[in-house]
This record gives sequence, structure tokens and C-alpha cells, in this order.
Amino acid sequence: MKAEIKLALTMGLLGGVVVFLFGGWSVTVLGILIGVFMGLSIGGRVNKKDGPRKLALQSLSTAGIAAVVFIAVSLFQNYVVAPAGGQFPSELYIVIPANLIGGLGMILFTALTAALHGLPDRQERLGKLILMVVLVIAFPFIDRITGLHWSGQIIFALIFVILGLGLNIVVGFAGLLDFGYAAFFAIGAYTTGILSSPQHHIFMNFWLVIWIALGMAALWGLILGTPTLRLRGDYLAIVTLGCGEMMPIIFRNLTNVTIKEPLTCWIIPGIMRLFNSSAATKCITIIDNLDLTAGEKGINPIGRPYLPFIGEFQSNNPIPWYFLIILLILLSVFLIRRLRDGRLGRAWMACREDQDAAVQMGIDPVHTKLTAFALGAAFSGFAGAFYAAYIRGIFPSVFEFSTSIIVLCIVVLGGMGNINGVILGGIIIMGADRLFLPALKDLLKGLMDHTILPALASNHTLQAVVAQNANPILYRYLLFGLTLVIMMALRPEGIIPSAQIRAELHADEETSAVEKAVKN
Amino acid sequence: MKSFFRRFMRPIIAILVIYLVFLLGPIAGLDFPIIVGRIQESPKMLVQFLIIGLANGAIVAIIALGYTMVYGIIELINFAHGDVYMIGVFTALSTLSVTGALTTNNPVHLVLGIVAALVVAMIVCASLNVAIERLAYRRLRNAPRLAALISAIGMSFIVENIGLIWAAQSWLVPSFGTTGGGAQKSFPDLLSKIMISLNLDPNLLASTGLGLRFTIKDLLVIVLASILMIGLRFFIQNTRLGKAMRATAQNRDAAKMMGINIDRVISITFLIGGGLAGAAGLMAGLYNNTAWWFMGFRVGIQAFTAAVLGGIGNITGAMLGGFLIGLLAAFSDGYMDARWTNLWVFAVLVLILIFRPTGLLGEQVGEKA
Amino acid sequence: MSKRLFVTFSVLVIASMLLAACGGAGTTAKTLKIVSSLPMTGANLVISQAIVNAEILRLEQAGGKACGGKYNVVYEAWDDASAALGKWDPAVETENANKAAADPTIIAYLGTYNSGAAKLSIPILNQAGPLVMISPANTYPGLTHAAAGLTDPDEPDKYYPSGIRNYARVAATDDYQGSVDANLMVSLGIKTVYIVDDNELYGKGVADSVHQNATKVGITVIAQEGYDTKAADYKALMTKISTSNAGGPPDAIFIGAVVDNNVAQVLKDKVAIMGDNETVKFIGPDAIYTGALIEGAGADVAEGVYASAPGLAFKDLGEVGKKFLADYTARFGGATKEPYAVLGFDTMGAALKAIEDVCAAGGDPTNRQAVRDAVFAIKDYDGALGKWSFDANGDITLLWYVVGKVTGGQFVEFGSFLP
Repeated sequence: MKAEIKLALTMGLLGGVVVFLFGGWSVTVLGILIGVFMGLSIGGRVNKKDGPRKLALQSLSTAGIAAVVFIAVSLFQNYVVAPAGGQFPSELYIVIPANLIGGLGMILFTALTAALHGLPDRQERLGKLILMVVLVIAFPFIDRITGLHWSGQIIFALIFVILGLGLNIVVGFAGLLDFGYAAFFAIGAYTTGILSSPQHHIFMNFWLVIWIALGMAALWGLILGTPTLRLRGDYLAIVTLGCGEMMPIIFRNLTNVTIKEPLTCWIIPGIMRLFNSSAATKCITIIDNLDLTAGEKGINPIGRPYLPFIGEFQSNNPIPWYFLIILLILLSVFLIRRLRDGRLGRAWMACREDQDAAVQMGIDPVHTKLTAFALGAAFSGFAGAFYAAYIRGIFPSVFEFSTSIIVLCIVVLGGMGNINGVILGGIIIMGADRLFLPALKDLLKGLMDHTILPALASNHTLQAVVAQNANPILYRYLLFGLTLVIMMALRPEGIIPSAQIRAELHADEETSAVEKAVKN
Repeated sequence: MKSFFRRFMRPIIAILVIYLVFLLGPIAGLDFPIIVGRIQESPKMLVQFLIIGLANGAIVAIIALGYTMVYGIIELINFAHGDVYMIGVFTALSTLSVTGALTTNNPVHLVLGIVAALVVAMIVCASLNVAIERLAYRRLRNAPRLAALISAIGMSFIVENIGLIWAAQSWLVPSFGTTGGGAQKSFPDLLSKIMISLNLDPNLLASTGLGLRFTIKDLLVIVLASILMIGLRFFIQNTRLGKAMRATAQNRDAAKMMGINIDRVISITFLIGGGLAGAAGLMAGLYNNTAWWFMGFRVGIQAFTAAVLGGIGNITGAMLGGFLIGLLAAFSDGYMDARWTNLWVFAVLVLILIFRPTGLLGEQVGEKA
Repeated sequence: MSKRLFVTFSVLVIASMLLAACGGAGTTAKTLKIVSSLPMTGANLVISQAIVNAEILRLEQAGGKACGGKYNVVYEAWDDASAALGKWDPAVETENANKAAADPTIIAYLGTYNSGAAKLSIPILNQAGPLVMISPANTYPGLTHAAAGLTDPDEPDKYYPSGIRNYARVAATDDYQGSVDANLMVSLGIKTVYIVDDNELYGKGVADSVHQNATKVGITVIAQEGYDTKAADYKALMTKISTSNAGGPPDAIFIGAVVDNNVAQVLKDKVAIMGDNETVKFIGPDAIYTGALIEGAGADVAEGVYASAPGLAFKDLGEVGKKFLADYTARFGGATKEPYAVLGFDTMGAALKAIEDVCAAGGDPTNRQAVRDAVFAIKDYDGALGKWSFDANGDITLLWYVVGKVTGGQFVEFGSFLP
């Protein structure tokens, strides 16, 4: 009972935090989501024999407490926090249905999910799957009806999930640390940009370009991977960092490409001049002043996917984009699972664990590492193509070092080598970065301007200091850094670890445990 | 037939590579006829670029010392080191601001302010570097190398963010608007101010009539860097502590058995590296006159490249690498195309790591995985 | 147990609902929303904040209401920069535009600051109503009209997929600014100029325009070159420039860049190598006409820098403009030095006038198309800039530029110029 109350309070407050930032209809969405999570966590410790009905009833009390906490926070937000931040509270015709559906939705979905645990194993799994599918499909429609506009940010987060899945092959499966992953993202995006924009008057179909982007990214994975193969560990990391830094410089500066054949243009004339000969050769110019990437100006506008019935995807309608990216993720997950469980995947992991031993077992390390690099890069081609078409323009500054590190953060936080972990990591990191921090900033700014700063009016210095520092966006890098350092120190295997990585990372503890056992 | 290939393969590939460099190099500014033409046009400028390259290289070299020492001992790339240097710039700026040296014209006050800034910057950076080691690296010493490296990147982000917040504090960093922490902050040109207040020309070569510039700033930066390098070399070669450091670098377990306190030696390494970064911070501030939260990342990578170029773990090598990188950058800015300079620096990094990971002066060491 | 608990909690939930029902009181007036999308991070913050303040001030002067109190007008200042890039972020700008497109209460989008950002948001908003955009600061000509040698052949039509123009701006464009800067150089007696730019849409665009116009008035352009915006120093580049004019320095250096692209460092190294800004003049466009430049470079180094910006010198402003400056000082506790503040004031002014015009004609101001039409129909508006109109392309008809010179640590107006 105590544990249940604790769970209810945590979940209620957790949802409350989000609602606290967004207000309005977010109550409804969060209520349902929290309900599902709560049902799942209750399911972890129930007695299966109780049957679905009893489990559902049992969960109701927990759900009820959570719902009350949750709604209390929501109302507090609406009637105390929002006015203090200088905003009008939501109107009644929103408040009542939003909270009602949110609260009841939470209770209902908790009960529903909890009940699933009472079913036989196969049905339980099927039930959970259906629930997930329904939620994923329903999300953008709920988002649209409630006017929350989270879809755009979620789509962005999902782009990074694909990037995370790709990097996970390199870092998680093959154990090769890559600090320049954004380079492949850039290649995917620029391939799309160059092949379907007015920049070179090439307008290829998106459904074709996305595969070309994938192929180009994989090809560049091979090209950049080949010379780095004999390096191990940190030297490899630095080389990838170097390549990753070079890529935006190249894309930024390929704005006036002129290639002149050197022999005819200056080597032979130079030699001629040495011999005082006046015979001139004709200088062959291969490319003259080509603006390949448009530099910092960016390529714009880029072509977009087109489907019968739906028409061309528009930026103001996120729903087709959302389903496209979900499809891409499903495809990626499917492919990556097949790869992981196949011969190649086992070879990657063998090389990661102990390369020398793997070589002794007949694994070709060159082939293994190259495929990891190429396939890892290939998925970022997907992400790049989607990004270019979705944003409609690409600019070199997007693909710099911090992007590579954010993707690495996603993989490390979620759990290296674990696909579900990477998806969760991507949603947490990008959600925090794109949704939470800006919302928190707005909330704090409102509170500052209307409540706190006027109170400090007598002390101008203090007022300025407070105003400058109360901006959560200012601490963004700190959060990423802390994520990496704390995860490495406390839980290097990530939130959802893969069993092998965990064993590897805690190797010395286990040995010491064995030693202790032997001593005893 | 096969022996024919074996014999001519290498020269053919070499010619092909050279041809490709001639063909594609001009895109990134490596256009030999233009470079030669510019040098012929004004050979005097070559000397000028040499001076600029050496002075910039000196700052890179001092930071590179910090990378190379840490790598030599615990084989970890301390990514945060470049950012510690950035904190050094801000510490120096804030110290100068607090001591009133930014607004005075009295040369004695100015010199005292600069000395104070040097001491404070070195102390702050040294402590910061030791703290970083304690918090982020110590417990990972026996973990897989990837874990420590990821932790180092994380630490770098944290220190960068500290710099960003620092820069936003208008009571610490002189500013008259509210540009926030993101903007570059001015670091006044105090050395020239000292010279002017003593009625001297800041350009030491002004009286020679050669039209070259070699200012008091260039002199100070190059001299200070050389002194620090020689001092560090002496310390490592000739003192007890230096010997302990070398022993730890060679074999940590053996050193432990010899009664060396490993933790202490590593802490002292970070302490010295941080102190050097602090000194570099003041020098860079005085030389380039800018404090910016992001300045550590770029220079950090350049310094790391310098350390690798010279042979990582090798003090003299780091110094040499620093000067070479400075010269490369100045040469690229002056004769090639300023937009592509960083590409060349990174290209050196990548090519050295791939083809000669031991660097110019490094000895052949066993495979370090 | 659980059943009873369930009932208790259900009652509690419903009770709290009822409580909520008693707590609120509805408002009767409908809400119209106006948003701005400007970079509120980094060195650009100074300019953006001045624009936002001016817009807030204009709305407050209207009492936050329109059409005789029938509508509440709410203003939100959105940020299109991200900390990751330290400047405007394509993803954030796109998201802002999408968010605005999806919110039916938004009837005007005031922005952007960076012309590159406008390229992304114009097409999105063009297909959302179209929702009218009024920019206080974009100066790249191709967004509204073609200019020979400066814009792409398919501009500006590619930004308007629906065929209806929805973008207007109160800032005069770079093709005029280049001419102003060339005239300025002539009046300063400059014979040779070296142009550097940051390679961005705006920076390179204005540099190209100056290049074109300077050649036209007989000034020798030695070279135009892009610089690396993140380098630690530019001493080598400046050394190169210092001998580029037949072994000596040029008369002037023109920089086409926004201030957060390291302009302060370029200026510092220029002064270190080639001496103060009287010996070799340093001239820039509107994006360096800001206190952030002086803060980054230091007052003594920046002394003597010239910059031009669309609008009038404060001393040449008319009655409305003078009153605005006084009101700004009173409202925000300090005078503004940013020329863009005036443009910001008129941006909001144009939006509010359009709403009033729609109401006066008996239309519905929640209809985006009606508001767009009203904006493009603005003629002889009595704004802070003076009397101005929008032409059919959405360009302002007023082509005044103010030129400032840094004197004693701040930009002091040098005069107002026409192209």
C-alpha cells in the first residue's frame, strides 16, 4: 500500500511538472500518458493469478491519488502560477473538460494497462502492443485537437532518435567511439538538398532521394572509415572529431568551386618559362565558379515528399511528417534488430568485447568495423534527408560538434547497445531540450517580470543579476555535460542497459566480488 | 609482373596523390602559383607572418603542454583543458576589472594588476583542473577508455557553460549593455597602454624603418611561453616529483610499488597543466584582446593537434607542434584563404593520427588501445 | 477497501473540478495575437530587445485593445535562436512559423531579424491564410524584389507558393544600402576599399551590393573576401590586407557581417595592424550599428567606426518619432541608441493600423487574408519614421538611411542619407 501511494504521488507530481510548464490542454495528454506508465509500473509487481478484473480494481486507488495530485497541480498552475506570470488563466470551457478528461483518462488507462498484466503472456504482449500503437497513432490527432503544438518538436526529437539508432550501431554494438557523427547527418541532408532544390535545378522525387541520401551517407562512412581502421579507442575518436569538424567547413565554403587542370594551367607553362619558351598551352578549366552548397546562405527551398490522396507534405500540417518519421523509425528498428541478431551483429559485439580474441575466432576486424561505420552512417542519411525536406532548408552551422555530442548523449543516457534505450534517451534529451527548457524559460520569465523583479526594484544590481541568470536556456550545455559525467560515474550502462555492456562496464566490480568470495 | 607492380606501386600512388592535391587543393586555397606569386610580391610579409604565427603558436603551445602532460600520465585526452584556458581568460579579465587596472593609466598599477591577474588565473585554473580530475576522471581510471573519454567531453561542456554564465555577469566582466553571456567581451590592450604611458612605441621594430611589426605583445607571449616550457622540462627531468611523474607515466603499478603516491602525482600533473592554462589565458587575453565563452573549444582542438603533431607525451614536441600549428594558421590566413584555415588544421590532425600517430618527436610506443 | 477508496477519490476528483469551475471568470472580448520572432541570444540580443521593447510600447499605447475595445490584442516575443547555434536556428524558426500558422488567433507575425530565417518562414506562412509577416530588419532584396547581380533568378517568387504576397518590411533593402555606403565613402574621400564578409545571406548580400555600387561611383574595390567567423584572431588576414593596395593599406575596409560573427575581433586586429579608424576607415552595415560592437571591441578601438542603418537619424525624426524616443526612455528607464527600435515601433504600428483598417471597413480582423490586404494597402502611414507607405512588393517607400560614427564609446549620428 505504501509503495503504491509513493508511486501515485511520484507519477502525479511528474505529470504535474509538465502541466506546470504548459498548462491548458497538456493536462489531458499527460493524464493519459502517465496513466499508461503507472499501469506498466504497477504491473511489475502484481500477482498474475489475480486476473485482469481484480488488478484493474486494485490499481484504481493508486490512480485516484495520482489523479488528484495531478489535477491539484494543474489547477494551481492555472489559477496561481499563470496569473503570477502575467498570463490569463485558461477559460472555463477549456479547464473543465481538460482536467476532467485528463483525470479520468489517467484512472482509466492505469486500470486498462494494469488489467493487461492479468492476461496470459501472449495476450498481455499483444495488448500492450495494441495500446502502444493506438497511443502513437492517436498522439498527433490529440495534439491537433487540443492545440498543444507538440508535434513539431516531437518530430524533431524523432529525427534525433534515428540518429541515435545509427550511432548506436557504431558506439553501442561495435564499440567504436565516434565524435563526428553529425558529418553523416550533413551528408544525408546535403545530398537531399542538392538533388531536390533550385540550387542546381535538379528536382528529384523525395522517395528516390531518401535512398540516395542513405547510400551517400553509407559511402562516406566507408570512405572516412577506411583510413581510421587501424586506430583504436581514443585516437579513432579524435579522428572522427576532426572529420566531423571538417565537414561543416567544407559545406560552408564550397560556394565558388573552380577546378583547373594543373598540368596545362601552370606546371607546363612554368617549365616553359624556365626555358624561356613562349609557347603557351591552353588552360583546361574543369569546373568554373560553381556554387555547390550555397554556403552559409543555405540551400532553400528543398523539395518535399508527395503522396497520392495526401498531396505534397506541408510544413503547417505535421501529421503526415509524423507518420513518415514513425515509419522510418520502425524500418530502422526492424533493420537494426535483424543486423544485431545476425552474424554481423555478433561479430560487432565480439570485436567490441575483445578484438584479439575475435580475430582468433576467424572474424575479419576490417570488414566488421567498416560495415559498422557504413551502416551506422546510412541511418543518419535517413535522418538527414527527412530533416532537409522537413525544414525545407539546410545550413552548415546545424551540423557542428554540439550536434554530434547531443546524439552521443542520447545513446549514452538511454543505454549503449540497447535499441529501446536509445529511443527513450532520444525522447528524454530532445524533449528536455526542445520542449521543457523553452517552456521553463517562458514560465520563469513571466514570473520574473511580473512578480519577482518588481519586488527587487529597490536593488538594481541584484535585479539585473537575477534577471540575467534566471534563464534555464543558459544552463543547457551544463545539463548535457552533467548527463554525460553523471551517467559515466554512476550508471555507465544507461537507463535501459544491454546486458552485455553492463557486464563489461562493471567488470572490475564483478572480479572484486569473485575475489572476495574466494577469500572468504 | 607482380614484382613490377610492387616496385612501381608506391611512386605511382604518390604521383597520383600529388596530382590530386594540385587539382583539388586550389578549392581550399592551396594554389601554388598564387602562393608563390604572393611571396615574390612581398618577401617582407613572410617575416611578418612568421612573427604572427610564432606568437599565436606560443599560446597554442602552452595549452598543448597541458594536454600532453595529462595524456603522458593517464593516457586520457582531457577535453576540458581548452575550456579551462577559457576560464583563465575570464579570471584574468575579472581580476583586472576588480583591481581597477582596466581604467588606470598608471604603468605601475597596470603591471601590478597584470601580475595579480596572472597569479589569480593560474591558481583558479589549477584548482579547477584538479577538481575536474577528482570529480570526473578519478573513479573512471580503471573503467574502459571510452567511459573516461565521454566523461571528459561532458566536463568540457560543463566548463564551457560555466564560462557562458560567467560572461553574463556584468558585475564581473565589464560591459555596458546587457548582451548576455553569448557575446564576445573586450579584453583591453593593456600592454600597449603601458608602453604608451611610458612614451614608448608598442611596436619594437618601429624605429628600424623596415615596416615590420613586432610588438611588446608578441615579445612577451613568445618569451613567456619559452620560459614556461624550459621550466617545465627542467622540473620533469630534474626534480623528485618530476621523476615520480615519469615513473607513473611509464608504469603505474610499478610506480605504486616503489612507494609513489599515484593519486598525488596525478593531481599535481593536473595542477601544473591547469596553472599553465591559466597563464595561457592571461597571455591570450592580452594578445588577442577578446574573452569569449566558446574560445576554448577551437584553441583546445588546435592545441591537441599540436600535442599530437609533436608526439603526445613529449614536452618539447608539444612546444614544437604549437609553433608549427601557429605558423600553419598564419600562413594559410596570409597566403591561402582565411575561410579554409581550420580545415587545414584539422587535416593535419587527421593525417598525423592516421599515418604517424607517434608524431614528430614521439618514440615508438606499444599499441595503446 | 479498494472500492471504497475509489469512490472517495472519484468524489474528490469531481469536487476539485467543481472548485475549478467556481474559480474562473470568463472574458468577453475576443483575443487577437501578434507574435514576433527574433534572435534573443548572443550579441544580437541588444538589437532584438530594443525592437521588442518598441513593439511592447506601441501596443501599450494602443491600450492592448483594437477596434474600440472589441478585441484584446496580445503580443508575444518569440526567440528564433537556439543556444546550440548561438544565433538563429533554422529548426527553431521553422517551428515558430509552424506554431504561428497553426494558432488561428495569431493575425500578424513580426519578424524576422535574419534574412535567411525569413526565407524559411515566408513560404510556411504564405500557405497559412496567408498570415502576414512584417519584418523590422530584413534587408536582403531577394525576399521582395529582384535586384540585378544580387538576387537569384527565381527570387522572390519561389518564396510565395500561393502566389499572394504576404511579406512586407519597414527596412529599406541592401541594394539601396550599398548605394548609401558607396556615397558615404565618396564623401569621406575614400579611393580604395577592401571588402570582407561573413558569407551569410545578409552579410555577403550587403557586401556584394557595396561592391557593385562602389565600382559604379569610381572607388577601386581591391578584393572581396570571406572570413572564418570563429577564428581566434585575424592578424594574418589583416597583415595581408595591409599590403594589398600596392604595398600599402587600403583607404577603408568594409565589413558585411552581423555583429555576432566576430566583427569585434576583426575590428580589433584591423586596428592593431593598420592603426586607428581615421587612418584606415572601418565601415559596416546596419547589423554592426549596435552597442554590442563597441562592447566587444572596446570603446577606444571602436572609435571612428562608421555604420549605416535603415531609418532616420534620431535628430531628424519627425514629431511621432521624437515622442516615441521620449516614451521609450520613460517606459524602459533608459534611452535607446539602436536605430532598429524606431523600425520595431513602426512594425507594430503597421500591424495595429491594419487591424483598425479592417474593422473600419466592416471586416473581420480575425481573418488573416483581410489583415494581409490591409497591411499591403497601408498608404501615407504617419509612423515614427515619418510618412511612409508599402509598395506592391511589400517594400517601404521611405529610403532614408542613418549613418553613425562611434565617438566616445557610442554611435553618434553622422547624418541621414538617401541612396
